[in-house]
Amino acid sequence: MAKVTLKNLTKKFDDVVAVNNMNSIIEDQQFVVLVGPSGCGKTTTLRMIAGLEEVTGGEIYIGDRLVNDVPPKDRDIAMVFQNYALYPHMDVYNNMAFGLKLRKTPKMEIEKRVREAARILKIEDLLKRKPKQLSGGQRQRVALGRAIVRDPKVFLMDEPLSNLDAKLRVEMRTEIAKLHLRLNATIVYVTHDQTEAMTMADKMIIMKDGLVQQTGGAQEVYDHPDNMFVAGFIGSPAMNFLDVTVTDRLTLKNKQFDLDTPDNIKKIIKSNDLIGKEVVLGIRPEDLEDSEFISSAGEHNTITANVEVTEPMGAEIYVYVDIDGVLMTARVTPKSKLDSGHVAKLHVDVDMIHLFDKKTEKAYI
Amino acid sequence: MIVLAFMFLVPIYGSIVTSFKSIEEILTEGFWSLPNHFSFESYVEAWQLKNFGRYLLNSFIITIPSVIISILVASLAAYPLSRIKFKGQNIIFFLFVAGLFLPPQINLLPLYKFINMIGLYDTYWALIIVHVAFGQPICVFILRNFFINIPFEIQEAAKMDGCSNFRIYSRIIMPLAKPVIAVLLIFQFTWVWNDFLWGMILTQGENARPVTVALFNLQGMYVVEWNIQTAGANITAIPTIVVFLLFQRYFIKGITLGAVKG
Repeated sequence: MAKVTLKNLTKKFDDVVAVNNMNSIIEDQQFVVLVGPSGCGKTTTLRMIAGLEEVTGGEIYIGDRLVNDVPPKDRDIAMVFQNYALYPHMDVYNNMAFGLKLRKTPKMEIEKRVREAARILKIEDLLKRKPKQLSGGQRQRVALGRAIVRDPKVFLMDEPLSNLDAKLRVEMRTEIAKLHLRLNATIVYVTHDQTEAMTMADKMIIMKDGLVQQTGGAQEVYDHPDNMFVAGFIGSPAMNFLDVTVTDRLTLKNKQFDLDTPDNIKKIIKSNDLIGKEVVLGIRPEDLEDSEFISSAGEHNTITANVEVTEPMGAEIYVYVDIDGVLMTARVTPKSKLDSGHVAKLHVDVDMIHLFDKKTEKAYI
Repeated sequence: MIVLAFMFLVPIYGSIVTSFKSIEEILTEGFWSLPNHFSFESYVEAWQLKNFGRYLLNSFIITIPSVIISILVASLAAYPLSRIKFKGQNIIFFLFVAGLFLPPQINLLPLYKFINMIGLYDTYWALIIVHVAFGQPICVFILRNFFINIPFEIQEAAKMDGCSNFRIYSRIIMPLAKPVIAVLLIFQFTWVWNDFLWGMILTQGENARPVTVALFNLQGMYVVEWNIQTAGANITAIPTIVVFLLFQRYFIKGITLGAVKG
């Protein structure tokens, strides 16, 4: 196992900058997830670590070794692909053994390692089958097995679950997380699915347009997003954004509401000299609740708005309200009787709100 | 469809029935009637007197290496053309394919002169070289188009597993191309086996003359011995049929390959 260091890593395809001056350290045995919308450079980054893509600028270290010019096979890494990329003409056993055979591993050792990997992944009885005789989930297990038998320093996974159906995806998610604990492996995992990223990652690297937006643990990033992109991308349903004006009473005012601010926000307002200025207010859906169910609420810190649609989810209801032309989402208790056409009074948990600069979209801290 | 099938089948019927008849019977009963009594005499005569066996052997000696070499060489060209990015790739591919549209007759005289010049006239190699060369456009075209549809991730996975470019070619790409190679085997075999033009131009006498040309020379000096001619033609046709039967399992698979990908 080893840590991976990316220094000023840059990749250009002709004039397009896919990855821009990226600096990251992936610690030994850490599960790091590169996450972002498509085209953000996450896969390119992974492919550069793998050696499948040449580096335009910067350095990649695996352990202490600079690997920029080391061919993929000598980097001691294994990769799991989105579409599995199994060898169609080989059975499961040989799919897993192929890499070891090429490395001239003794036959006994190959046999031992393949059996062991098959046992871990519960595919022992599939060893004689060809890939086309396997289901999607089984294929992905074989692809994982092919990586495991190599016992590499680093595992690279490129959206390994996105070809699976929803239920299987959740299952394999846990499976991979368990595998990580079991193997004590360093894993770099790419996904566009923020849920996947949050549930699996020790550390998330959130990217957009080739730039790292924020790095951190799931909760840390969720609670303290650095900018509006991260705030909107991480969390589902996404954070609501509203333009508000800071009044000289240090409240946040909009046509439809006037919210008090807690002390920490007051401090931020003062230190950033925001009084009288327009800022972007961010409220997570779960910080909006039907005021009927907040005993202390009254009219205080509530937003009154028309309900457009409701989506009962069982454990909660998503209520979509129109505030000044912006559709906002609230996650309210399933006891709520709100329905489309109603006027909702939503209580805002002001302790949890976020403020962003309107122009730079950066969070005020 | 029926009319077309009929038009194809009638000559085959004629050729088969005639080959079992004696020359007298042909002259009295005509070409199309069923033989009064089956006789293999014409086959025996074709084989022994006209030295057909020798020509058949020539044909095999020419065809088998031609087919194998042309597919092998074409695959070595198709692999980089489809799987490795380099500058001028498309131009090179275009040049290969352009060969498809060049009628071979254009090269008749220059090639004849050239083969003479390098001293290969009337040898197996003359025909093998010519067939390999003329086989390239279609083989490269078909192989390249097949290779390019093999997912690149498979190649990348192999690379990470430790394959060199040549290993990817030999251990991954070629085994996957089995069906399309079977198709080319049949096509090329039929094409080379049935060649008449080059066999005629580049050989003389028994040395290297393929069976198709010998067949033409079966025409007797004074009378046309229909029975021997058809017997010879039937013998000539057998190897291509055998090859087809051997590889047809792959052939059908290969043709439908693009449609359903497992």
